Amino acid sequence: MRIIETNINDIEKDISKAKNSIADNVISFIQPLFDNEYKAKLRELQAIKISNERKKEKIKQEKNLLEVMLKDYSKKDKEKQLLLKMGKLIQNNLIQEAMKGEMSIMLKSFENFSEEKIVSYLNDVIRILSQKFAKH
Amino acid sequence: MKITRIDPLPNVLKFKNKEDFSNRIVQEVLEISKNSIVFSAVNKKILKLSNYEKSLKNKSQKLDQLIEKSKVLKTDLTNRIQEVAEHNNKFRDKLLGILNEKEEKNENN
Repeated sequence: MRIIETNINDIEKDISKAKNSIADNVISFIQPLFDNEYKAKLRELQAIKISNERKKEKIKQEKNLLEVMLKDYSKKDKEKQLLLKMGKLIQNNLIQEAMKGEMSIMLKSFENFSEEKIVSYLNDVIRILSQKFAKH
Repeated sequence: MKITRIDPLPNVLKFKNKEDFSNRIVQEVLEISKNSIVFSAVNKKILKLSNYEKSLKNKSQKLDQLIEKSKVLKTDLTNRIQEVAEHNNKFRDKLLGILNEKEEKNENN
């Protein structure tokens, strides 16, 4: 036989009063847990929001950089087309003597031209090529 | 300190694992509390936040994918630009060489 000792008070005579008292105790214990959970969730959300904002900013920067790179690629591609057409003119000996000097200067400096100017030269060279080949 | 009751010996085994017992009680209380109308307002708010968290995490994942995609694109574009630039330089030098050669021939003639 064993005597169980406890510091829990004897229940009051009014059982519903005792129940209410227990309920109040449980609520006062549980309420902060839920509040803490809510606050922790809020902090977590704030951290995700900040992280997402940073990611958005990074994507914006990457987008700008890619646009610049695409422009550069497009210009270089036009330069390539112009060079190939000019190569056709030179290799087929289709340019006049007087034009050779000008063409050398153009070849040395075309990288500094704007894309619009390169496209304009490209159209000129294509026109000359089609005229020359039409004659032949 | 009060003597609440006198317990027969075999029942001492019930308290062998007090930790499990108290954990079980806490779990039960929490489970009941979660479904209790007393905490429903807080619970609803937490649930709302959880749903919002899910959507934010989805967004975050999509942003990560975009960043990864932009990295791949950047590498690809850098390689392409380098390739075209190298081709252009070589071809330009070749054409300049041909033009110089022709010019020299003309001068000699």
